[in-house]
Amino acid sequence: MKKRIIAALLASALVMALAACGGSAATTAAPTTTKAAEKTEAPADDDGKETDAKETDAKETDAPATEAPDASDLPEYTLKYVEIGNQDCSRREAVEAVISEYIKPLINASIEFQIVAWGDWSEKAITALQSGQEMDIVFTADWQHYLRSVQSGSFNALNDPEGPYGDLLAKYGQDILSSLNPAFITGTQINGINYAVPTNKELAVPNGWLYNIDKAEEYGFVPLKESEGLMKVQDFEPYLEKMKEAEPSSYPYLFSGGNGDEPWVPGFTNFGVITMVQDPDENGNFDETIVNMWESDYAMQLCQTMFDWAQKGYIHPDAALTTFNDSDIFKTGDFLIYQQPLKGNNIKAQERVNASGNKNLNIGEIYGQKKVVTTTHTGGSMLAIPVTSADPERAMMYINMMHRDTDLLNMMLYGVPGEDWEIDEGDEYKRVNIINAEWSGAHGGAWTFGNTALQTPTTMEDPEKNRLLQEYALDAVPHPSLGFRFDQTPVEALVAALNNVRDAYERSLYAGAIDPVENIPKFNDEMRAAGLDEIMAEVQKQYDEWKANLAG
Amino acid sequence: MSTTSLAQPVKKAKKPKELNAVSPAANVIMHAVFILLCLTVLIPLWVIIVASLTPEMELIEDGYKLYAKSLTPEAYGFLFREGSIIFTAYKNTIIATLVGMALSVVSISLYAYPLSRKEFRFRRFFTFVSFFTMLFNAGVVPFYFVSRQILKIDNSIFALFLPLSFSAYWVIVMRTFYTSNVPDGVIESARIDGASEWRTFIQIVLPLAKPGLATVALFSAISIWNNFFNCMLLVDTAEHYNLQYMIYSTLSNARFLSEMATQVSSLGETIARLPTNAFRMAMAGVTMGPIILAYPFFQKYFVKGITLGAIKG
Amino acid sequence: MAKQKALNIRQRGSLRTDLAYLSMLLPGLAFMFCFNYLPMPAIIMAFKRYGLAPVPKDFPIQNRFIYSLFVENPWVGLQNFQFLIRTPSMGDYVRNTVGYNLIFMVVGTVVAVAIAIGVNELRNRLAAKFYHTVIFLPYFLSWIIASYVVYAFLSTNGIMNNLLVNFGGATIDWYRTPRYWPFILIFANVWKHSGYSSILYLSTLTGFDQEVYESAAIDGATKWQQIRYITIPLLLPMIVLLQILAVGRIFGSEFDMFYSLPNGSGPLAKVTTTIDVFVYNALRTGAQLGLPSAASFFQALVGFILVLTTNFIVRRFDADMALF
Repeated sequence: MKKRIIAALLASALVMALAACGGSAATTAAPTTTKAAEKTEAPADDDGKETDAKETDAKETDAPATEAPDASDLPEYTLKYVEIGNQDCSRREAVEAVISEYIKPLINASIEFQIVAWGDWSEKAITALQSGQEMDIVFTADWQHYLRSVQSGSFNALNDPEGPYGDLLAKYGQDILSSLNPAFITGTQINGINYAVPTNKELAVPNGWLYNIDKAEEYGFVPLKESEGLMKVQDFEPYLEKMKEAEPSSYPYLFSGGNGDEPWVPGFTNFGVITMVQDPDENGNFDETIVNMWESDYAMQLCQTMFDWAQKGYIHPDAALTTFNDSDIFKTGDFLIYQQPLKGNNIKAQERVNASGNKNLNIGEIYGQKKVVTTTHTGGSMLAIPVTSADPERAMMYINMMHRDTDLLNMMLYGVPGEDWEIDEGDEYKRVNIINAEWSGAHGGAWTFGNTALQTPTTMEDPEKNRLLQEYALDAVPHPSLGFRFDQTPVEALVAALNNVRDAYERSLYAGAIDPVENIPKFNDEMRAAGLDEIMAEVQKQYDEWKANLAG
Repeated sequence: MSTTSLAQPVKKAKKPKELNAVSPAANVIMHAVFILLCLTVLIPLWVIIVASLTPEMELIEDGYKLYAKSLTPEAYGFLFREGSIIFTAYKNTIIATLVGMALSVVSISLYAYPLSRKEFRFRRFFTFVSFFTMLFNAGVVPFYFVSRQILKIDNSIFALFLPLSFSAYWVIVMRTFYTSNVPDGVIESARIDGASEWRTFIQIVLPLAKPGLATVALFSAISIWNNFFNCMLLVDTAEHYNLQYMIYSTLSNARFLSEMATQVSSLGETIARLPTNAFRMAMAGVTMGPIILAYPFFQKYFVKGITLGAIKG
Repeated sequence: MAKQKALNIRQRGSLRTDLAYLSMLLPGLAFMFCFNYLPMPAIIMAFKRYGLAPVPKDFPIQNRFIYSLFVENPWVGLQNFQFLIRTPSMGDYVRNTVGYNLIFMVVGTVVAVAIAIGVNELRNRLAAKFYHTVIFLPYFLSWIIASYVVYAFLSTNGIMNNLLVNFGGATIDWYRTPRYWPFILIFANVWKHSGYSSILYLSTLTGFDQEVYESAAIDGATKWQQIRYITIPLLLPMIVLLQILAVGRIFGSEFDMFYSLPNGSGPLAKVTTTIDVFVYNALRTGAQLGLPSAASFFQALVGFILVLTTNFIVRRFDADMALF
């Protein structure tokens, strides 16, 4: 008996190994020679937003894009779409079925979703990409190894006329090109080529703070509105003091890890520290000097303020720890000021209130930065077509649909119509009423795919929200570094060491947990020992080269 | 070790055992120490259970405490709500644990036995073959590649136990069990009686190695029960999730999102929608439940009863 | 005895025996082949710059991963190992890793053996089983959950500080005071593992011949003497074996524990960062696949050399206790 089990085990292992080797040979499809790769204008050169397509095509759900071939000419195909999100859920198959049924007549394809958890992404999705796992559409972002994935050859070029598939964006992505703010296309290029389609969402994300309006009234705090000007973190001190006095057990400054009024370009390099000033001066000129933010007066002043506030009990003593959960405290409303990146029109405040589940919160916004478009905000959410896709053209057709088809977007977002959600007919804006939140809570959410302006908001949200978000960015100024991505490969050993030094200081300094007068110099010394100067020289070199390429 | 006692089961009265018991004073001290040790475990567990039953707002405002002002089973209600994947996850974990445990007992006990036999010519070579796998591994990406593209065990229950069904570590431990618990003499006499190696192994050696087998069974069961990594890597659909992965991903999402929120503006709302603290603690409690029920079954092999001296033979 | 030895030697090398034994190895070999040795060639990643490349049509194995890794990717020598060496604080990380491992080996073993003997000797069997079940439980708590519990005890307004205040003491800033953390980490590690490790010793104890104890008792040996002169020596092969195996992992560490428990507190980094935590933090911002491969290859290599050395030394004392 045992012998038989063993024999079976061994045999099956061998058969599996053999079958797989044969199988993989068949599955790796050779790139199909593309039909006359008509070279289109590089999307970066589009100088204006073509609004006509957006306005008229947007709601036309079943009219196929002019460029897309007739669905019946296409062979049947199953698209594998890897999303970021919380966890897979039991509603997925029903959602796949309804979407497949919907897209079948349009592009003769069906769809399979795979939700990879936020925390697993860098281990699982990146591993899948690196090992050459087959997939057709995959989420990517600057904060999820976009550059690294492009460098390691994981993504197809989307608008490279010389690439194996030609200019996919021009051929099948007209709705994307016509509706996206051109800054998105420029901002997500690597050496002039796009390797992923940015999600159409908020583009200008100035830093600032949320504040508790009820508490502010109680303590006589009247902040500046965005139109009236920017505020500094130090401006809040008198009111924090009042609140602490009146409510000794509270911590009025709710620390979230950031600062709100920092002058730096966010994510200029993937490890922070080295950056340049973000906001233009009065004449609209940008300062493009590359600096170590920890040698600035700003950093010293800020950390001294924070250290002082921590001593006085305005900041929670455990704020520097990872288990400290600021969103939890936000829910209770037990704070005056809460640092957050914002997106105009009180939308952030409203979103946070909705998400917290505490409808009694009365929250307003205070701005600490000007509206400047930077690389990191264009590349915060994108969809790429991996090189392992057997049909990148079909994948692009699907991505394009997400930039023009409201019905498709709503199904992706909320699930099966009539079962998971319905249009609230009684609502004057005809917004979405969620019946079963299983699916909508499983994936990454509205901002992780397609054109957010075409998604129907829920009855919980501002009906104008999506329009406001895109309009808010219209008068934003692009930063000169827009599109620059630092490639850490030449100095990766040094960056590795630097990251560990940062872990020992950064968050503690920001949270006021350690004395900056003593620790900032130590921090800088250790960073220098880890090779900061060498890294900075490399950043400078790459930036200069990038600028030169841009000009030439 | 004497070989005679093993040839024929020895029956013993209770008396010598009593005679050889520890002194009452030492007994009291031992109890005191054990109670202290148990408290270091029970108090934290108590904190977890209390937290899982505390209303969310109270937990946020007062933090984790030894007692709560009010209690609510809300977190458990949410965990076991209709349509929750926890039921499937439970089922998968239990099946994977049982099947994987059986496979590992078979493969490990078989592999370790020849390594314990001095007359086996390739003993050292095969010991090394297994030992080598304990230290060197090619890393996550090659493992992912082989499991998915060559062995094709992804998205099936096999992913949850096959990679864990054999462990070089337990082979080496089991080998030591054989050498210390199965005397050469017994094997020699079986051989002289004309029994084949397989027959000797199954009929003579295995019964003698029961505590070792139980240990291997328990430890592989634990490693399969506790493993979330293979599920994370090789399973994409909720239908094959296991319990530990559900917990792990909830916790690691929370950790990841709170670390990233300052860098990525859109993550703020996602964070605020995460399951509550009470929910996380409830999940921690729920995974331990079945262990408390299953452990006594194994325990009888390790913690001898009063007459265990007589069982051994 | 001598006769039996002779018999053994005569039997040794018989083809039939060897074949039977080889057949027993098969299931284990199949598992190791699939999950350990099949991926093993990819270990060369540590010496290459990894990236996916399209497979040329005439390559016999039409697989991107295999082609890229074995054909296309350039060898870079020891370049991937650089980040381990160019880190100024590497000394601290190595000290933490090796130091904690050695302490865990010693303290962990002592506590686990003590628990095993204690459970074995308790008169009240029911109580013994209960204690042991309870002590075993923490093994099933993940370190992330444990980090919440530790936080509940050590946070500024946590249980410990409340106790200190109630007893008239001053509060302690646990998360900013590195000197407590070696003890906290040792305690946490022993707390989590001792029940689990004691099982192995317990099951070894169960296998012992009771006659030896009884005759010793009749000869007037006290319980202490029995433990000292019978139990410990009998447990020794298992203890030595587990230590040899632990030596192989001396450059590794339980990542989740060292990463989760300090809660990301900067001031503790000096005493809580191990090599694994360093590698994780170092590569967080995205690094080429060769770097983590290089790190784990290096850890394995050190472990391998140390195990061979330890094994050699153990062999000199008692060949039966050695690994091979």
